[in-house]
Formats: sequence, structure tokens, C-alpha cells
Amino acid sequence: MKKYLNYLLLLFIAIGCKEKYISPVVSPATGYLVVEGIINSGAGETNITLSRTSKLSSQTVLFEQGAKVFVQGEDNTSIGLKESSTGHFVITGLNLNNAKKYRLSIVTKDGKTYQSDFSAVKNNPVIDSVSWRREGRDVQLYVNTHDPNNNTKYYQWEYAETWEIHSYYLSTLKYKVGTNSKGATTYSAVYNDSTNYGPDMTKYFCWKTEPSTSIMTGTTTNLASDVINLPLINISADSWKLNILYSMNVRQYSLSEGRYEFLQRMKKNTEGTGSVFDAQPSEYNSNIHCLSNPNEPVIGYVDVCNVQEKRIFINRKSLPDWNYNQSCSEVEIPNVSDSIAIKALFLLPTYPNTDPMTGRIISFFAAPPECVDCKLKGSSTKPSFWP
Amino acid sequence: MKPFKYILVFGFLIFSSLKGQAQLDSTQKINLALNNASIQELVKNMESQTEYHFYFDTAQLSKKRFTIQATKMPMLQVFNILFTEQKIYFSVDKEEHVFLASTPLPNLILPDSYFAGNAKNATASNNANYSNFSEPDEPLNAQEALADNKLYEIGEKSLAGANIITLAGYIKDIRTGEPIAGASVYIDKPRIGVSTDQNGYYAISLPKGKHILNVQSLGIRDVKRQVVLYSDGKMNIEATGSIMSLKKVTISAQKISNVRGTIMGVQKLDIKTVKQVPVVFGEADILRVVTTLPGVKTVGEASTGLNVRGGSSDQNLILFNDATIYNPAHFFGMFSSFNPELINNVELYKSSIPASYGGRLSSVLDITSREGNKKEFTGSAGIGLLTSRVNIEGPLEKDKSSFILGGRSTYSNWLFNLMPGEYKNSKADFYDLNLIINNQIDKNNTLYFTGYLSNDHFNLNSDTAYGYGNKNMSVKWKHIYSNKLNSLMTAGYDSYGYQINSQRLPLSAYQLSFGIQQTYFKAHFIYNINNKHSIDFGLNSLYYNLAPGNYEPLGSKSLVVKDIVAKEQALENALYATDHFTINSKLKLDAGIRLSAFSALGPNAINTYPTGSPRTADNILSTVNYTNGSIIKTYGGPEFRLGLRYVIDETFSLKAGYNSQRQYIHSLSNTTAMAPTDIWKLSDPNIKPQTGDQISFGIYKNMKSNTIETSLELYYKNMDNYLDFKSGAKLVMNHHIETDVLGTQGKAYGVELLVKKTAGKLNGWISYTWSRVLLRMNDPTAGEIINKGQYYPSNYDKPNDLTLIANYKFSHRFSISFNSSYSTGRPITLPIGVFSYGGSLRTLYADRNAYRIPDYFRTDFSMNIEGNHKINQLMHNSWSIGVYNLTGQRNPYSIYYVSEKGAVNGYKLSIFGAAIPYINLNIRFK
Repeated sequence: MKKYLNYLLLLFIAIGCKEKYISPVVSPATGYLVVEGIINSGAGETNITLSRTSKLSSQTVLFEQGAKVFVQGEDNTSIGLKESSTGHFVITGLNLNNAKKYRLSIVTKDGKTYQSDFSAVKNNPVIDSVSWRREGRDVQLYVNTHDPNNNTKYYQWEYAETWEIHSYYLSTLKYKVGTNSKGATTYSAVYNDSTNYGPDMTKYFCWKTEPSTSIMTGTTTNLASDVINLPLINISADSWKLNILYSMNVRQYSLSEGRYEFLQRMKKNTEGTGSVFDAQPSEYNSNIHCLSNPNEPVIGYVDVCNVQEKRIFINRKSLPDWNYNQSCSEVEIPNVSDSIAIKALFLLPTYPNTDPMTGRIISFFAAPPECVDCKLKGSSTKPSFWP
Repeated sequence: MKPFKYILVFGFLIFSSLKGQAQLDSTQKINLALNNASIQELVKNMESQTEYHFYFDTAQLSKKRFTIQATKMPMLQVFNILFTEQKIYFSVDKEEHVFLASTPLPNLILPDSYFAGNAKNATASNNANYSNFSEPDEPLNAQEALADNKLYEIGEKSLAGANIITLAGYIKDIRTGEPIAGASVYIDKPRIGVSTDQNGYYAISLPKGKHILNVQSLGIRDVKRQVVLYSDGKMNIEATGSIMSLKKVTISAQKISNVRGTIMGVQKLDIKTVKQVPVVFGEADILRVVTTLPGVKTVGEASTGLNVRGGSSDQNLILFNDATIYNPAHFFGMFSSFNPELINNVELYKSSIPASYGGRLSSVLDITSREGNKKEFTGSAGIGLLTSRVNIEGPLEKDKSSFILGGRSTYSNWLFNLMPGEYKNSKADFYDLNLIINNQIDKNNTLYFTGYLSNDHFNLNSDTAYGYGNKNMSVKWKHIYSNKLNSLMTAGYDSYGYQINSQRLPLSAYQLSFGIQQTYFKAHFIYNINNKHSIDFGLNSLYYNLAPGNYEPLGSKSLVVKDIVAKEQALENALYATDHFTINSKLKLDAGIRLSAFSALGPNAINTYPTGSPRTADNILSTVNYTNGSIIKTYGGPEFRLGLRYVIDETFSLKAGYNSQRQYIHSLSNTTAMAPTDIWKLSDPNIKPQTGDQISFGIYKNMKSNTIETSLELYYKNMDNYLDFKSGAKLVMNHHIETDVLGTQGKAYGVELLVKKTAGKLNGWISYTWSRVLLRMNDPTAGEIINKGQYYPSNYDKPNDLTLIANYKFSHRFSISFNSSYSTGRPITLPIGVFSYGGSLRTLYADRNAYRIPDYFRTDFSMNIEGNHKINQLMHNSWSIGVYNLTGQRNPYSIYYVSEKGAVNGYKLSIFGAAIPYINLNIRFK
């Protein structure tokens, strides 16, 4: 149905049109608490994020700082989480008792207490595989899981993609900015490393990581056995992601029916809109309540499971016809302050033309920054898991 | 049918009928110098010098030769010289049309002196003469009244009988033999009137003696008959109806009946009107035109769902020749599934719903097909941008039996090929087929057969395939027992279903299907007791069989578990009677009652829930199993249908009405528009029937010889147990749907104004509606209340709504149409805030329908160009060229916010965001 609706949308856009819309409505300041996360009953990290709803026009996240967050067991155990950064609360290695029920308890800075309902620890089978295959020229990734006990039923996945980026050009040069005798700014191209004239590899090797931004859930309630293979993401043909080496880490949560419903509603309200046949937005069936004011809206559904993870790599070598093309070109610039000021300040220098006698840089080549410095697109810090 | 030079004459007759007497301008002088000229040359000469247009039968006059030398000679004298000699009869109407004929026209037996000196009196060039004129070879049936000024004697003079005589018969189109439905048959003194049923049958009780019987209807010229009644008798009347598509001006049937009838809130459209209104892609669309009528709204352009006076789209009974059409839309709702070529007329009852109809809360849209041509084989074809159609019709037995077979199909796939790559593999197609047969067994028995089939398929880039279709069949038998009593018996079968399948993921490949079937029997009797009382009564019996959902694996790898939601069966019976009581010449009452009873039947398993607490899957008390055929639950009660009319004068009346309705079948759809995947649900112990009632009041005034109709109607309406859905409701494959629905109350009220010009070069209508539709869900035991239990506007609450439809006829071959509409934007639920979750910003919603999309405005324009009108050629072509949304207005269909790549973006979606030109070719052939 969803597909159909999206499709219809596209069909009508083809004839009709879709324009950006900025609501003239001045929305009220709401400031409802939003609790995101799941209690990881296993050895891994439990991440809870607290934030507040904000005005539609603001388009920013208001993280809730300074709250106290606890995982409480029905056996009266209570474990505090540490605020690692504003609004982000972490604890590793809870290793909870699978026979007990647990809840999240939050005391916000303003002194209000919020508690989730007690939830049983849900079994979560290991991810069988994260696989990919070519669909047309594209690459489609799937997650495959099965529960031999046939009782997990509801799943959620999140992923983080990481890919390696190489700059189009190696750069051995940088601009040196100075001042001449008259006090005017001067520019010249000099070597990054005056000792060995080598390229700056921090501008050449980078990695980019992007988390998933859509809610991915799956259910096997209508299947004979608890087997699921769910499409995660489609990487369109010749995307830069697969140009060198690509990796995806998938986290799998098993869900209670309530959390599944919660996520479904959120998905429908916020991602499934825009069809010709939109339904009215649904209210959230949150399981977190404000103790002092039960009618205060809270957005969040917290339950407990052992989070499963799986990482895969896709090497460009397995995609021989992958044809990512970055169009980059260089221009030659005389290594003269005026020339640089006029022609090259929006470019980055790559390599020099030197006087064979003096070794002086007579002129140099320069290219647009995104062709030279990969840090503009990612981080030069190699991730720990990268081979 | 002898060939005419111009069959345009029929078009003109419409005008002439309105204008009355006319004469030759005695001051007009012309110059002529002809020697043995043909009639064509003569006419050409005269037409070039005067404003007169000449019409004649080429075959009759081709051998005539004319010689005249005239200088500034008065027209009359010229005519005398030319025509008296040659025994040519002429007459002139006020529109300066001159009609010539060589044979004495029946009932226009004019002495020579008339020609010689008194053209004024010779202008009995009224309609009937030309009926004959056009049909000179037609044997005159003594019973087929053809002329206006002949005196018809009905019954046996010698029989001493009652003082009240019943006269009955059929009103038919003289050319095609098609019955004329809904025509008013009346006398003025005393004022007694009836209207013909859908078979053109009328029965009227009149005092003994001499009367002038008037017949008026949509698309025919007014007919007058002088009758002398001695005893009960029959008289069939043939009227000159609309022929081909030449006639571009429609005379409304209601020019008097809108003032006279007791029924309020009924809108009637004939297909000619429908065809003039410009529509997107140029395919004449009944439902689109219906939405331009006062009190009718849609949520937007991609929806054929009608919201009539605040009702939801499932509260309309859409009947096509008695068959219920569950999904009247093709191609994502862009076209309605009725072939315009086969439709005769459309009636929308939105307030006084006759007691013979039931089962829906808001309205009845009664679509009646044409009957096939009983005299000759003809056909038509139409070619448009997305659709084309072919229709064939003709007699099975001349004058007794005829058929029409029509089909439409689409070739929309080119549209997909224009779209981005990933949609290139998509397909969408539809077709519909109609077969209509009627057979007049004898003068008292007529049989009708209707077959209807429609189908839609669309395939979304080879991923998920959708299909849906209607299948309908009905047989109707009309029997006339006597002038006073006749009956209509109808039996039929309706079916609607859809299928969805997806094979992309082999492990979860599935097929989902839904189906509803109903078989029905209707018996309808009309009994004319006397000129004060006419009663119609009957019974309806309807058996539903509904398969709410079958979910099945597809392919050998599929792990999908077959899941079938238990079938539902039910029987809906109704007995009804209406007395049309003429209290006096001013006051008339229609008092109707409909006793309806609905029984949900086994086998089925019904869940019980504790009273006073929300129904959820967790608090099912028990599940009761019912055996095959056992009655699970019966609902029922009386529905009242009252209408009162008070005539102030000939053209001015007041009406009031009260109506109550019950609806036992509900569509399950939580979307704004009517989606092809909507399913239906029958009432059961947990789902109560919807009920509604309406009071209405209206003022009707006609002006300018009834060519301008005005009306003002007020209404107030209550609805109860209207189904709304809980947050996150699962509608498909839900074994306990009662846990996901909420019974909602609704109220609707409004004022509707209509000004309609029915004749003249410029015709059309302006309608303005102010109305509100408010809903309330405040039952705390339902588990969820909407907008804190306050009234909130429904999705289609658009308070102001203004529509203008204008047609202007420049000539007989060229006319233009213009359509403009404005309405308040529909309510929507806009987000009030944002929050972050799942790696993305997301929207926060609060009260339902608290905001509105911007107001809607659209203007369409079309031109209709007829090819040449020689009747003896095999093909007649016409073109319609137009532009939908002329101003290119980007009317928002919806405004929505969506989370994309981590951010929240707001969009305004317009379905037709530009001017859309279209061209259609229509071909008629024989």
C-alpha cells in the first residue's frame, strides 16, 4: 500500500507539481519530552537520547541537558546512565537478567519524573547476514534474520554506512599568506612539507559515516516461520559510496508489539506522507509517562532487548563496472601573488612547476577544493574498524 | 429518414419553440435575377441579401427551377411569385428561419391565400410540423400523436364512465424510439401533472373532457396535445428529441418541474450538459460535472469520491440502471467509470430521497443509460489523449428491440514513458464495457437487460500489481396492468473486488484480495388512484456476500501464511410506499415511508466486549459462533421521506422536506480521498448501522418564460455512527475491525443557491454553497477521543463554494464552454512542531483538521467544433479542444511535511499544476 501511495505521488507530480512550502502558521512552543533508545540487555552499549519538541520553524534539535537517567529492574535494581554529551546518556554492559522486567526512569532538570512501563527482555536472534546484490545497475542491501524459535516477530534495524573517499588530486602545496612592505596581503604557493615535498595524505584519504535516517521495521506475523529478508538501502548506480570501499554496520532490535506499532505510526506520520490518499496523523502510543502529570504528552517507547550487530564491507573490486565519475580539472597559475589573488583563491594548489635550476615554484596547478581536500566531504580519521 | 440538406433544422427548432409566432419582415426588399435557377442558387442569393436562413429537403426541391427578375421587391412578393406557382409551402419563424417543402405539411394545410397574403398566419411552423417534415415517409400511427393542433379523442364516446379518466402511454424520441424519462406531462387547468418514469411511461388521471396536454423534458421540444377524454385510454407521444450532437443547447426538463415537483434537492443533468463541461484530458465525465452542482464536493482533483451535503464518499448510492457501482473511478480516480456515450441522464438526490431508494445516508446518484436506436444501426467512436471508445447500437427488431454495446479503453502508458527511468516499466490500464438491451414484447411488457464490466490494472515498476473491477448485471421487466397500475421488477447481481500482489521479496510474496457480491430483487409498483393520489410502493431485497480479505502466498518460496478474514453475509429488506397527494392545486404532499431491516447472517464468529470500556483485542470477552444462515443480529426501523410543495404562482413555489436514512454497509478507509483499496464492512453486533436525518427548505422561482431558474435551499443534517478510525488502525486483514473503529457523530448545514439559464445562445449555471460539516468523537469509552471531544471540521468541510458553468453557441458548428470554480481550501492537519528520532527530524501533530490549505480556484475552457452536418454521409466528426486549468493555477491538493534525509520539509502538492490542453475527436457513423 505504502509503495502504491508513494508511487501515486510521483505519478501526480509528473503531471502536477510539488513545491516547497513554508507554513505561515505560527506554531506554539510545545517542549514535550522525546525519549529515544532501547535498553540493551546484553554486553553492548545502551544509548538513550533525550530531547524536546521544538517549533516547526526552528528545525533544530533541542537536547535535554542535565537529566538523571536510570535503568530500573522490577527487582528494585537501579543503574544510572552517564551523560556523554548533551542529551546523550550511555552505559555499556548492562547484562540484564532475562527473566526480569526493566524500565527507564528519568528525572529531568526541572524536577519532573518520567517512567516507561516495565518491559520484559525480548529475545533477539543474531543477524544471519547483511547481503547485497545488483538490481539493475544499482546495489541493493538486505538484512537477513531468522528466529529458530519463531517468536521474535517484530524487528527494527538501524544502520550506519561508512565509505572511503580519495581526493581526485594529490596535493603537495599550500598557500602561504603574508604581508608585504606596504602592508598588503600577499599569496604564494609553498610545499606542505618543506623537507620531503611529499603530498598531504590527510587531504587524500578520508572516510564518511552516515547513520540511517528512516525507520526500518519488519514483522513476520503473517509468515509461516520467523524468517525475514528486508531491503535496507538502494545505492544508486555509480554513487561515490562504492567508489573504493564501503561498509555498513547494521544494528538489530527485537521489538514488543507496542514499540513496533509506535514506530509504524511514526513512520507513517513523518515519512509516509505526501500521497494522494494520506491518512490523518496517528497519536503515539508512548509507554513513557510523566508521573506528576499523566496527561503531558511524551514521545517515546522504550523496551528491552539484546542488540545484535553485523558489519559488512563491499569492495569496489566486486563491482568492476562501477563508474563513479568526479569531474575535476586543473588550471595552471603563475606563482605570483596577484595571479593567485585573482584566479586561485577559490581553488586549492595541487603540484608545482619548478625551475629546474633553482627549484623555485614558478607556477602551480590548482583545482576546486572538493577535488583536492577530502576533509571537505568526510573525516581524515580512519575508523577503528577499517581494514 | 429522407435526407435533409441541413439537419441543423433540429437545432433551430429548439429556438423557434421558445419564440412563438413570427413573420416575414414586410419592409425587407431584395433584388433577384434568376433564370432556371436551382433551389440552392435561389437560397444562396436570398441568404446573401437577408438575415433569413432557408431549410429544405433537397430531394423534394432539387428538380424545381426558379425564374424571377425582381428589383427591390418586398420579400413577401418574391415568395409569392416563386413559391405559389411551384406549390412550395413555406413558413418563417421568429429566428428568421424559412422552411420550405413541396408537400403539403400535415396539419399545416394552408390555403393559397395564406401564402399569398398572410405569412403571419402561415407561421404555424411550429415544432410538430417539422417532426413530420423530417419524417415524411413515416406512417402515421393513429395512436402516435404527432401533431400539436390535432384533436385526439381518447376512449369511447358512448361509454358512460367515471368522471376521472386515466390516460397513459409512452413518451418517445421520434427519431430513435428511445423513451424520454423524467418528462413532465401536465395540464394547466386544473393543474395536474405527472412525470414519466425511466421508460418514458406516464399515467395521468384527468377529468373527463377536453384538455391541452403538455409534455416538457430535457432535450426535447415542448409538445402540446389537444385531447378529448371519454374513457380510459392510451396515447403515445413522439417528441422531437436531441439528435446527434448537433443540438448544443439543452432545455432543462425542470424548467417547470423544479417549481412544480415535490422533490427537493434533486439535480438532473442530461448527457449533453455533461459533455459540454470541459474536463481534464477531455473525456466527458459525469462525476466531475456532478461535483459542480451545489452541495456536492470532493476533497480534490484526484478523487471521484463525492461528498454530498456533508456526507462521506461511502454514503452515496451510485446506481447505473439499478446496479450498485461500488467503485466508480478509473485510473487513480482521474476518470469516472461511466461511458458518457451510453448515458442518458443523471439524477442526484441529495435531500428528498424517494422511498424506493435506501441503504445510503447522503445521496442517490441515479445514472440511466440510453436505449439503443430502434430504427437504424449507428455508432460512434471517440479518440482522446488517454482514452478512446467505440459504441455500436441498433435495432434487434425494428421498433421493438434494440441494443447498445459500448467499450472504452486507455493507452495511458505513454504517460509513464515520459516519466523518470524507474517508472518506465510501469503500466496502468483500464477498460469498461456496457451492453444494454431492451425489448418491447408487447404494449404492456418490456424487458431490459444491462451488463456492465469495468476493470483497472496498474503495475508499479514490476513490484506490486493492483487490480480492481466492477461487474454488474440486471434484468428489468416492466409490466402495465392497466392505465392505473404498472410495475417494474428488477433482479440483478453486483460485484466489486480488488487484488494486490507483490513478488519482489520471494519469502513474503503475497496476494491480497477483497470482494463484495450482492444479489437483489426489486419490485416497484405505481398506482394512480385518482388525480389526487398516486401511490408507489414496493419491496427491495438485497443479499450481501462479502469477502473482507484473503491473504495468500504467491510462489513456491513464499512463507506467507494463508489468512482469510471470515466472510460476511447479510440480508437487507425494505418495504416502502409513497403517496403523492395533491391536496389542492397549490399544495402537494409526498409522504413516504421505508421500513428497512438488515440481518447479519452466519456463519460467522462475533466477538463480545465488556460494555463501557474500550474495545481492544485484549478485552474480548468471548467469541460466539453462528451457524450457516442463522441470524446474528437484526437492525431496522422506519425511514421517513416527506416532501411538501406549495405553489405561490406558476413560477414560484416553496418546498420543505424531511428525510431519514439508514446505512448498513460502511467503507473502511482512513484516507482523505477515495482510494481503490478501500474495503467495505457490513454492520454486525459490534458495528452499528449509520443513521442520518435531514430537514430542508427551499424556494424556487423561474423567470423569463422559465428559461432562468433560481433556487435557494437550506438544510440541516445529523449523522450518527459514522465510522472513524483509531490511531494506527489496521483496516486490511483485521479479524476484529471493531477494535479499530470509532463511532462518530456529524452535523452538516448549509445554504445552496442556484441560478440556471437553460436556453439561449448563452446558457449554464452559477451555483453557490455555504456549508459546514462538523464531526465529533467524544465517547470516552471508545478508548480515544479526537480533538478533546470537540466538534472539528471534516476533511471536506469547504464553507464557500462557487461554480460557474457557461456555454456560448456562436453557430451550429462552433460553441465554447467555460467553467470556473472557487472554494475554500479543505481542512488539513498541519504539524505544530518538530522533534528528533531515528536519525531524523520529525513532525509533531496536534489537533485534527485545525488548518486549511489555500483556497482553490480553477478555470477551464473548451471549444466544440462540429464537422459538416450532411446527414446522408457515413461519418460525422466533431472535435473538442480545450484547456483544463486555463490559468495554470497551482491549486494545492495537499500540504504535507515529510522527513527526508534527516530534515523535515514541507511541500505543497498540486495535482494539475499547469494548464492542461486536450483534444478529442468524436466520430459518429452508421
